[in-house]
Amino acid sequence: MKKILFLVLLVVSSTAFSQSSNVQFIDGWIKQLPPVVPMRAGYMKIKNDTDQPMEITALQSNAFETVEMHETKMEDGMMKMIELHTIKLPAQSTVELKPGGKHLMLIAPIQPLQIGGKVQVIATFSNEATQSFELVVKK
Amino acid sequence: MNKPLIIITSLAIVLGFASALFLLKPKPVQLQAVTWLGEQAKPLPVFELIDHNNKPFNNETIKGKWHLMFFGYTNCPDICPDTLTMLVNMVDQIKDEKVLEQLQITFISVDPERDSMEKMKAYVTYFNKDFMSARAEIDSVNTLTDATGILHYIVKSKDEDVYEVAHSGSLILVDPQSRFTGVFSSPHDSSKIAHDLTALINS
Repeated sequence: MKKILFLVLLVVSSTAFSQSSNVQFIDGWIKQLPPVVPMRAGYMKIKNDTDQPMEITALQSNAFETVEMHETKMEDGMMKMIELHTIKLPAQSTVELKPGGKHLMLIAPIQPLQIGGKVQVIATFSNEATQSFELVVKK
Repeated sequence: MNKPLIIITSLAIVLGFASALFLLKPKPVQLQAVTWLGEQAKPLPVFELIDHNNKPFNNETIKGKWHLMFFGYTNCPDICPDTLTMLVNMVDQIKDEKVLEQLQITFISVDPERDSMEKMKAYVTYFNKDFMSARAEIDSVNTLTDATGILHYIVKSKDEDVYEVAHSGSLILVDPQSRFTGVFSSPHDSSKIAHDLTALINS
């Protein structure tokens, strides 16, 4: 009886741990800017390999005070930056954050950034799962 | 003189004249990206900005060079750096030194409240040490943006210091007589812009 209970607990707990997002963050990078600029843009490809749509609802990093999600859009002949409250990741798809489009707004670097430096970011999903990923500072 | 000889000689003269006319006629420049005002080039209204070396940047001081002007602000982490990076690539594609000597790329701030001269100099020279920047109170900047069709406005937010500026991504071309002469609209293709600038400056 104890053995069965133990096995059941093991299976249940391992299922709980596997409540990760199964989302891959690929080729994450930050565009380096001169120190006078108090924010940076972060870009990457986000791959949702699952059959479920996912949604990133929040982001944080110990390298920046705040991380927001934004999208550059052309409207009425003007470039505008719209703040996004979520990044939707449709099932079996890749969403690309790139210059001129969706991007992470990394506000107020805590330490000066160097080219080649790596920044860790944690994404929180609508199902409360979290996942950390890396952004490399590039020229 | 016999008739065939007269005919042949006349024909030769006519053909010679026609081909001379054809060869001497200025060939139209094939442009790939610019909306070229040509004969409709408009003298810019009197404007007064200061460049990042603290020198006047106005109708008189800009004469003598071709200017490519980009309007933006430094607290913009995506589209402005992306455009300036594109301009760096564009300049790299201009192989003709004579063209480069006659071209000045200038970044003008539509956010003078936050963009000091020092901040703008550090920002623009980070991309290319030959890029220039200029600023002035917004009314002075508006003289230039109104004349060139550049739209911009501040997007209000709850926080006075944290706001975004919506602005046209177009590049304005001004000729050495300080006339507004062309527009490059977004999205920008650095090789096409390099081609057009080379063609226009050389012609």
